[in-house]
Amino acid sequence: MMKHRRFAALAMALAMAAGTLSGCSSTDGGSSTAENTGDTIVIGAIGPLTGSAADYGITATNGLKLAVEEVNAAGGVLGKQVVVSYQDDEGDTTKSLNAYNLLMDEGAVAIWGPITSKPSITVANKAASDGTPMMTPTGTATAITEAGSNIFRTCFLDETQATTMADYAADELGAATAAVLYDITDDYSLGLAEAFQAQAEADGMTVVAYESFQNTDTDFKSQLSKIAAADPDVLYVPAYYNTDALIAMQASEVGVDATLLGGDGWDGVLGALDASNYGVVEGAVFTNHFLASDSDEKVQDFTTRYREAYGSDPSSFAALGYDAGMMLFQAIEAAGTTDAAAVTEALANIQYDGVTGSIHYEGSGDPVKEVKMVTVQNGAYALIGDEAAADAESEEAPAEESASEAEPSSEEAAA
Amino acid sequence: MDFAQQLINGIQTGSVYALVAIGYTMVYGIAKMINFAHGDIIMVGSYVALLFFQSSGLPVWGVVLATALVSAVLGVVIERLAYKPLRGGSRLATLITTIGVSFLLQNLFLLLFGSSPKPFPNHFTGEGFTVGGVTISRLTAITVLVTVVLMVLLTVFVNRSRAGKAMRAVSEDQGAAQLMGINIDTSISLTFAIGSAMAAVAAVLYSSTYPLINPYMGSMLGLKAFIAAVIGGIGVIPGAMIGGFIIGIAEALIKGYISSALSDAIVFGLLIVVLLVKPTGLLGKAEREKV
Repeated sequence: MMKHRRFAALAMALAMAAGTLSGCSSTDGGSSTAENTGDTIVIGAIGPLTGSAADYGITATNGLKLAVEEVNAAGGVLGKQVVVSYQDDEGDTTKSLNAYNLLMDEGAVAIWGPITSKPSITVANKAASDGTPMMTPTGTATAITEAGSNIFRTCFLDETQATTMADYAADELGAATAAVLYDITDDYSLGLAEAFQAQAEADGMTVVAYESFQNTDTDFKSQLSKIAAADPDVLYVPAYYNTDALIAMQASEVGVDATLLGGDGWDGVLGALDASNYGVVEGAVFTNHFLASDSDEKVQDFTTRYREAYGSDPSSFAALGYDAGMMLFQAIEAAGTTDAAAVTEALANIQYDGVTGSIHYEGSGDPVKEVKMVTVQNGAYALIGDEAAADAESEEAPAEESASEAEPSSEEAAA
Repeated sequence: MDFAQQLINGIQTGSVYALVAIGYTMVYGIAKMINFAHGDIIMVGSYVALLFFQSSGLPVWGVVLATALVSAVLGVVIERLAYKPLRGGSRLATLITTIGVSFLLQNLFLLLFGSSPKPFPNHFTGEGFTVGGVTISRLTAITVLVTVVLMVLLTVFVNRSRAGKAMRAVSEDQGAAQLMGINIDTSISLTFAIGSAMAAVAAVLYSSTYPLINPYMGSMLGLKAFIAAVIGGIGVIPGAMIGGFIIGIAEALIKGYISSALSDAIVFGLLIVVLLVKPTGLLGKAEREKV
């Protein structure tokens, strides 16, 4: 029998080792270069075009490309055509810094990007010491804009969406009690959970349950049973759409009747559910940067052009990439020159009205802008307070059709 | 009340572990090998069920039967092609082959369906019921019921039927069984077929509860079920059932009352303790009749 035991132990060891032996590979992405001749303005774009975060970089640069097309068709900036040099950083800090140096050599007047947080911090520090104006569309880490007064971001901070949601729960939903279920292994989730809890308590709500899980978990019933027993009015789940779908499903199974709330990671949750399960997220509310079905004219126009160009609905990344580009162009135009200090000054005083909302800055590189509240209604995303869209939908679109239309590609995620 | 609810959660997960553990334990009992590709049969079962749900229009029970049939055939084919040629050779060779088959299945489905998880439909909707403040969803009730019925049927089959007797004989002594005129190949194939069919039923129940399926879903589920089989006493069918429920309930209670971060560590720790105290598992008897 001793032999059998050893055998079993070896077998287990092998199985575990096998699980960890997954490799990863990356390839060098091609990069386009541009010369800063007298009649063009060169903008440097940095983002992951290959590697694990490639989806974010590609969709964001797709948005930027639309912005460039639009501005050039309208005569360019300062009467010159805009040329963007796209550099792939693969989401890596060293490659991102190399890309920055290359772009400076090419004569870029401003930097659009990077997309992910860590490269953004690195490039921000270098750009701050050089004085180069930089606009990250999607980098959410607080440290990015702390690098210098010439560093800006287009997206709101994670903390902002959590506090906005807590205020919404207290004021609009009239919630008195709240529960939080977050991913303890993820900084994004942890940050949102902490900010929500703090603001909820400041708003006079009682946080009756504060539960966690790990990113590999698929079973959340134990935590959800505890939450069900505490019977909160709202349940805040700051996680990504795949996990959100599983949690919503199990919450309804163990009898949690709280309104589900979430952050921008919820974008895509309908794509992670079969239509027969759409009921479990009905009425859920989450914060987001952008919604493709927003009835706002600018958004509709952008969505139509994006669909024509790329054959899919724009994600938040695409919308932020577009707005970041447009803001740089508007600032250069306002400055009347490509001089770094003047462009920085113009960005700090910008009043921009874009597809992710109205943006201006008040003494820091973090934007003052509204957070969009999105709810799931009849199996489709709807913007809260968007009366026009709600009317249009009830008049023409049958529920089924609008559901399939609003289903985003499941590759999309917000960071 | 809260405790009862956690217990129900544990019994539901435990049911799925038990169904999967039966596959590990029967194969070990009869063919004396550990089949690490068994977890991936669940993954295959989930994708097959998804395809049937999407395109066949069969009722739920029809889909379950069809999926069980496809999985059983797959189990037998894998055994014939990959494991049978190695029978009588080194055990390590067979073990490594099972890991190879596991990788083959995972990567095949990765190629076919991509890495992004696919949503799985829910056909067990409807009102659950509440007993003394404890909510039991319809899905939970069906999972537990199906598991118990299958276990009873399997026990009767192994103990009473002719084929079951043959399987027990092979488990006890292959050589002697062969001399008595029992076809070992048939018995082993039958074992793989039953184990894979059970895994397919588990796949439908599991994927309905956790409705996102991906090519790697079988690894962790398979590992947990394997632990359940070892704790219960590998090679002993009732042991797999008891082991499955122990692991499921332990997980639910640890997550509910100690820490969700520690649940895997404690469950794997449980395995070590059981092996130290009783190396043959709870119901295992040293070097005696298996199955």
